[in-house]
Amino acid sequence: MATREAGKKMIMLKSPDGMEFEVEEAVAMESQTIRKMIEDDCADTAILIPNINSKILSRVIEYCNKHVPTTGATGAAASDTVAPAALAEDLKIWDAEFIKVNRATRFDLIQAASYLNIKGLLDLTSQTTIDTISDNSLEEIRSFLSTKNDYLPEEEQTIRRENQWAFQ
Amino acid sequence: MSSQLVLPLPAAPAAKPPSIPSTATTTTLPTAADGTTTISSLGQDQLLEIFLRLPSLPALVRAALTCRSWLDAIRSSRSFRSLFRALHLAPLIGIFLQIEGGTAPSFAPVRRSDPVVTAALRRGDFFLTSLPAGCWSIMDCRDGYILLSNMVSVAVVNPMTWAVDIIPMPEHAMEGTSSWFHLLSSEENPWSFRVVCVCAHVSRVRAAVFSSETEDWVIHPWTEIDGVIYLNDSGFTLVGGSFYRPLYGKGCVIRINTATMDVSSLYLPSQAKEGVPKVGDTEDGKLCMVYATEDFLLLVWIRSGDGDGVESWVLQDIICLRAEMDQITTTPWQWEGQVEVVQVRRTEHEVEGSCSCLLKSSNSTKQKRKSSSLKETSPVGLAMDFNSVDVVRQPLSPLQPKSPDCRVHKK
Repeated sequence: MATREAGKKMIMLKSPDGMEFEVEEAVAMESQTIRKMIEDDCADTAILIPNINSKILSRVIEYCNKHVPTTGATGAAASDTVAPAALAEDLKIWDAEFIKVNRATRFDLIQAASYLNIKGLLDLTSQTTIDTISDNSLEEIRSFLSTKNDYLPEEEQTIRRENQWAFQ
Repeated sequence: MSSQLVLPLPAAPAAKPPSIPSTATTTTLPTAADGTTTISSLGQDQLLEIFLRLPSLPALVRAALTCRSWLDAIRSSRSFRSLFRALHLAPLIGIFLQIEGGTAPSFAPVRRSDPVVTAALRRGDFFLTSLPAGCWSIMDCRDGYILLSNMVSVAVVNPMTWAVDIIPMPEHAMEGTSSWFHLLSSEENPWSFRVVCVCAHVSRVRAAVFSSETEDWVIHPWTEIDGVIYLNDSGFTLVGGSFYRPLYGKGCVIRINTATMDVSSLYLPSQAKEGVPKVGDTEDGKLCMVYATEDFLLLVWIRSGDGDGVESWVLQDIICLRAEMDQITTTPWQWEGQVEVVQVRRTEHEVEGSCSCLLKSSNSTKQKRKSSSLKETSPVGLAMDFNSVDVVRQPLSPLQPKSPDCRVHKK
């Protein structure tokens, strides 16, 4: 059992491949899904995350650790010396580094963020996909996201013509 | 030793069989054939979560047309569509102005750099060119539809689809009555609409309803009301599924339930009986009533329900207009009792329960009217917003390849 820091409640998260992660309760509660479990039930438990492997779960915990609102001794010191804007800027840079992952990992993270209900992480991981859809032509969206065009050519032609205004 | 909790698995995407959670084996979310996760591995809910974050409706249309399963995901979830609409408020694209002596309302587009507005303006029939010749005046404008009338017929125009429906007025229902026309659209089926003709005869009210689905008028029975509706008064205000209209000097508001067309009276608090109230809705959809007192106070009442569903009026706010009156006139005392609320509108992007009012103060002895408002002055006209467009059925605003003939409904 890992040591507990004074005054901080720890929660054990387990991945299905047998890894255990001990995290502060506040960090775990960045996930609304886990928060609800803790609030509804006893907080003393270890929680098995049944469908997120240890590689992805460790990244998710890394994200939550960074994004948990800073409180307590270290947090107070940080907010005393650093302006909130600078802090936000720092987080943004950190996020940009964090999301430099391959596409498969990004989709793994989207799934994990969606399942664990971590809004910030979902926003961050979805953004590339959103940008792809917002800024590109249909062909480019399909190629960038490796989706298969299963419309018949004439069908696509019709739908495109009917929705011409959205393609200008 | 503490017990161990297992988080429940999410619902697996429809195409894939659900995985069975087990503490002994590794369970992963579905992946592509080669084992890597792709966008196709995402469940429908996750996909829609991402789509919700798209910046605009055109971006959603492009997503929908990327592949069939994405279109199906968007089409099949009504809650997604209403959430998307709520998160992406329809921009104002222009205002219709009824110019005296004109044969049709004039349209003044809003100029702004929003590409959605520009695209809609370029493609939509906002100059109402698809209306048959005649003298049309605007009756209502809602959810992307415009309702017009020319004394014998009413026309329902959807400028984005260029669809025009010409409907004969229900003459036998209207005979000898004062009547007002209103439009109702359907959240469930954006391509259907209803036209409501509210008829008043002395102290009786009834509604005649035309449905685009049955293509016929249904006339509802008369209901006696506690007062008289006057001909030249304004029409009804639609708030959360009912039409409302104050009955001046009677201390009550007539309510017509748009689902059943039942007419009922809603009594005002005793303090409000002397005022000339206007009704509207707050941002969170509550009925709101505002009236001005003789000494330049605006009283804002909200209709709220308690836990047991019992509704009552709650005085929400008292706004003093003295400073505003001082700004617009050097002789505010001459205007006492002349300030009238013209319209109560919900405002966007503001705190819950907020609304704004347009005010009018008139001084009949001087035979002139002065307009003042808390926020803005708006010309007499109706705002045409862009709510109609819905990716759902026919994915989006099907701009007809051929100019469609207008549909004329027979009696």
